[in-house]
This record gives sequence, C-alpha cells and structure tokens, in this order.
Amino acid sequence: MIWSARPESQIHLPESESVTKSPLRTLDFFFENTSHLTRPALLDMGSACNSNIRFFGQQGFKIYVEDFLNDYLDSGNGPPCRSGFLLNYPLSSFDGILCWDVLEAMEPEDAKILIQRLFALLKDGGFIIALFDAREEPHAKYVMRHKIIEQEMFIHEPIREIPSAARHYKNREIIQLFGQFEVVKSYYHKNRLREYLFQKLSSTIS
Amino acid sequence: MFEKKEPIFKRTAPEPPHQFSTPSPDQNLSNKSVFIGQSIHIKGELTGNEDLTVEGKVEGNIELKDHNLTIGGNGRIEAEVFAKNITIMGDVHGNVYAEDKVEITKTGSLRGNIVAPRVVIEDGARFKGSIEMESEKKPMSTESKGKIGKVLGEPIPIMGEKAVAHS
Repeated sequence: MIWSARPESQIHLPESESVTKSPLRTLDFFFENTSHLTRPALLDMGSACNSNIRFFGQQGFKIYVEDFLNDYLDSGNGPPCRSGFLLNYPLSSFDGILCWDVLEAMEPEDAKILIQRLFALLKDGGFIIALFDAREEPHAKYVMRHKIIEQEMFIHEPIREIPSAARHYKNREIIQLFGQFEVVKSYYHKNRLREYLFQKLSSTIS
Repeated sequence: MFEKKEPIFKRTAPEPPHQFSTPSPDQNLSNKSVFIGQSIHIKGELTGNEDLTVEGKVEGNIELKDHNLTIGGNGRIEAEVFAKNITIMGDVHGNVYAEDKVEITKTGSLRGNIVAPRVVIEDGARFKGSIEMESEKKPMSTESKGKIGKVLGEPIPIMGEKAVAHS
C-alpha cells in the first residue's frame, strides 16, 4: 500500500505555539563521541527535514528517516506499537537516534514500548537525543518539525495539530521512562523545551 | 577561567535556497519529455534513453541512463528507480538511485531508500527510508539494486515480495 503525502494545513497558531528557537546543546558531545565511527547510522524518528538531513549527512552520518509520529497518528489498524510492526530494523543497528518531541503525543503504554524498542535498536554506546515540551499547563499538541538552521541553533515549527491533548512528562518521569539508559546531559531551555542526551551502556536487550 | 570550546562538528557554509520544481497546473509536461498519462498502468521493466514523466502507475523497474525522471502529482510508482535526476511529486514505493539528484516536493512521498549525491526534500514531503549521499558518481546498472537494497541487512520489500536478508 502506498501512503500519500498529507499536505501541511495552514495553521493559525496562538502565541504560545509560535515558532521558537533554541540552542542544541547536546550535539557537541554527541559528535565528539561518534567522530571515530565510520559511516555511523542515525535514526530520525521525526518527519523528513531537508536541513537536518543535509546537516547530519555532512557530518558523515547515514540517515534513516522514520516519520514515526505521522504514521502513529494515521494508522488505521491501531498504533504501530501494538500491531507487532515496530521499527522494522535489525537489532543494534544505530549509533544515534533522534527522538524529538515524539513521546508526548503517544499513549503512555505505547511510549514505554517504543523506548524499549529504541534501546534494542541502539548499539552499545549509542546515544538518544530526546526533546520534550516542558509546559505543565494543558496545551494543544502539534507534530513538530525541529529544524537545524545553524550549527548550534534550531527552530521548532508546529506542522500538524494532534486531536488529543499532549501528555506532560516531568523530569523525573522522563528519567524513569529512559531507565535503561544513562543520562549523559540534560538541559532546560528558555522556550520551555527539555533536551536530553541518553546513552546505552549495556547490551541487555529487552 | 572558563574556555569556550570550539564545536566539534564541521562548520559548513549555508546552502543557497533551493528552487523546488513545482510546475503550474497548466504546464504541459508532455512537451518536455516522454509522458505516461494518468490512465496508463505499466507492469514490468521500463528502460529508455530520454527523459520521462509519469502520471500513471508503474510497477516493476524504471531505468533511465543519463536522463531525468519526473513522477508527476498523479504518478503512483511501485518500482526500483534509476535515473540521472529524479523528481518526485507523486507517490513512490521503492528504492531510488540517482546519478545526480533526488528531489521530493511537498506533494511527493517516498517509502524506500535513496542513494544519490544530492538529496532535496521540501517541507511537507513524506519520506520514510534511508539516505546515502554518495560523493562519487557510480555507473548505474540494475546490479546497483542489490546495493541499495542492503539497508541494515534487509531491503524494504515491494510488491508483496518477501524481504531477503543480504549477507
């Protein structure tokens, strides 16, 4: 079955949802610890973004784009997490995974399953860069595009509204969710975005 | 006391804005290349020595040595695709190999892997697969199908074919 492009709708945003900028603080450490690898593999759980593909491609990564959240929302047969088909890659495939603003739009049980799957797909020593919206008050949820525009800055653009309200994760809940990983770096940005760098240290596969 | 560390990653010059191929609805694409109309459905191998625009459905293989392939907005492709430049405005399910550039416009979608020196994806395009930007041009042949099929050991199957693990 061929899935068709869904044209992005014209979104009229309230001020709280406007496009914002923030520095990407974990990239330095991530690149420093992957620079020794030959053709490292990077899985981007978000939608395709030309500037990000070009950016990571120029750093020597082979990029795999998953566009997970759009598929999760579009799935007519139940969420991909529960259908038995979840990120159909061999185990220990990736040196890095970008999990940017994905988990809050998912059912909590599905989010846990996804994290376990990401752990299995990551090589020993591999990293996950995760982004979370830190706002506690109820807010509409959008599928976001996090676009790297300069070497140390990226912008966050809402591209598609999600019908249900976002799940809010507090810091300790995020740490617990990623319990199989070690927290390497964590930042809280002025635009209320949380940025984490997690590392897989064990070869235990769940 | 504190030294500002230089970023570890390579600084690159910003790329100039790309002009995406978005022809107006009135543009007669058939004037510029061989044209497969919307009602045409082809199963099998398509090869040729000229540019091709597809607005119909093609299942199988498309190979255009040194020429350009355009999948129009109504095009539906389930095939391995080889061409010099590939522009996707419709739907493609299959691996894509270009000698020069692959471009997916905002109306396009690709489920498959890309091997090309240059890849351009417009905001709004749907893409799922891997991207390998080769720095050197390689001779294009159907043998390349095995290469781009090697995605972490398993190709993305198309047309109901079972995935076969490559060693």
